[in-house]
Amino acid sequence: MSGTVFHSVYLDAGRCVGCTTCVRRCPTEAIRVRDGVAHITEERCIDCGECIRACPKGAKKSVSDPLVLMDGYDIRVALPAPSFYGQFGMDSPPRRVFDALRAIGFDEVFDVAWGAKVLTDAISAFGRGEVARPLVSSACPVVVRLIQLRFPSLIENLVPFLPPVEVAARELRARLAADPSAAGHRVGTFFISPCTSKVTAIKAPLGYADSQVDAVFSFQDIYAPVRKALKTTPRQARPGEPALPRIGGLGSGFGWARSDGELEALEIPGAVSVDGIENVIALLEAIDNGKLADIPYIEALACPGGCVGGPMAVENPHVARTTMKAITRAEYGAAEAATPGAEAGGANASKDLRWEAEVLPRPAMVLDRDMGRALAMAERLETIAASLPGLDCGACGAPDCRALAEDVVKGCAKVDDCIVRIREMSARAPSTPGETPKI
Amino acid sequence: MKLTYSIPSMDFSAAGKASTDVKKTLAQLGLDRDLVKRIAVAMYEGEMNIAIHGGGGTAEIEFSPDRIDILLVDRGPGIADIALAMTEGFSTASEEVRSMGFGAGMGLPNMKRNADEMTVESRVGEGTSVRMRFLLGAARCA
Repeated sequence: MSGTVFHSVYLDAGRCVGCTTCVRRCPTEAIRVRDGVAHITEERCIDCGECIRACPKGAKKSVSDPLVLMDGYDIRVALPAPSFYGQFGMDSPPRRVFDALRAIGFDEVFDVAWGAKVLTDAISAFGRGEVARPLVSSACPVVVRLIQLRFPSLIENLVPFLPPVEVAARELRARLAADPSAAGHRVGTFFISPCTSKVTAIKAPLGYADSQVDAVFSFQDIYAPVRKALKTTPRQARPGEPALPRIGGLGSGFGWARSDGELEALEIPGAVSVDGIENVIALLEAIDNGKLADIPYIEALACPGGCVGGPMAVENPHVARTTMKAITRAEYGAAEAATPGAEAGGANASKDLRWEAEVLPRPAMVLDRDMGRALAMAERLETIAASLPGLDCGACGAPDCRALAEDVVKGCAKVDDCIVRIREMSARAPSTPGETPKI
Repeated sequence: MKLTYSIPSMDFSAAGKASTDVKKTLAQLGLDRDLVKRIAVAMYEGEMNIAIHGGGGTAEIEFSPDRIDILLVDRGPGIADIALAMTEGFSTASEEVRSMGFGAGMGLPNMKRNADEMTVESRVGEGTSVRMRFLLGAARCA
């Protein structure tokens, strides 16, 4: 599997100084520093972007698609994530951003918030049925991957629905397919995302086979051109009305951009929202212990503050969150009746929003596929861990002493990588200078 | 392989630590996820029992190729009527403990439901020991 899995998060080795900051922040223990440079274990990476936030040298980066990919299509449709509007402040409301996107080369804009709104209704109905409790939202792909990797028994708690962007992309393709003026043209769909994990989710979807999204542009790449266009573009400067008019009344869908927003849309009494990966892990741990079954629904977002805090966002997440609150309020019910096709679940909506493929556990923590060998390795691991100082200093390049013991057992590291242990041994053993004591 | 944990009395900030550690090892062994879930739930309940009712104690987890045995030993007041203690909803927990969301009387019944085999031994005034066995690879009846 190694080398073939797409990941948005990658290391710029030239910038890495081997400081181990990212190693200790990684929620899946996927990073090790070896020979002075960080390495990411692909099987364990969930593209959460914690290492990007943590790296003091900017050596952890994300890859998204270059804007020039638009050139290959006749009708270019922008799919802005709800959080995109939070990047520009209230003096640039969604309709202005919409125009700016058209000014920089998109022919059409279709809000991912539409998908969120449609999903809100579908999830509400689903949650009233016989389902596992608590249900855990699958809107955040980091949470889905975290569950696959660290909490596989909670896969059954995940809301088995497509992500908002996919729902929106399918709908817009259906609408354009029904539009004679679009016939014979190549339609390109471009998701504008703050999220490394969602880049990965488009290339390697969770719960369905192929994405209807052609490329993912990061907030970072598109921010400057849109900002510039906001200053220079008068209202609706381009000739010709778009085939997909701006949809009003998506307030509840825009809410999904920030923590609490999905819950406010769903209105499930007693539902809990959690944001920030460490907080998410603590809550999943409690559910895994059989607790919290009386909570009906959990909105879990890996980034602090929700998607506005995404690793590829530009605006300060706290400011963006406040902006999104105001946008959510302003967009509630506005112009919905006046805009054809605006009602959630519109004419061409996909009938079924459910996952079409099984989401399976990712056993990336297993020591060996053979249980007997794994058991023997686990036993050695315990012995080695007990011989280590337990300071969890990270100087060996592993996140903590247990992880070093695990690496030793797997043949990826040596006990001598622990410099604290070597110091203790040499202090104790009466050795001649220059001679390393036997361990 | 045997893992041993000391479980302090009434330490709610440390509660669940042993279960979390055991779950890590279970993940490394690549056990079936339903089995991992059953062990995690039973282990957590047992750990909380020791912390809340047992005045602290120990948890021993022994891994064998065909089974996992968990032995929970506490130094608590003991259980006078084990059959009654196994009844769902029966609890001797204090108001204080209940106000923290524990002591609903589901602990032992929940452990028994999740384990393949379970025995409880107790002497009033001396303490309680609970043995749970989980069989690997064995099919389980609904």
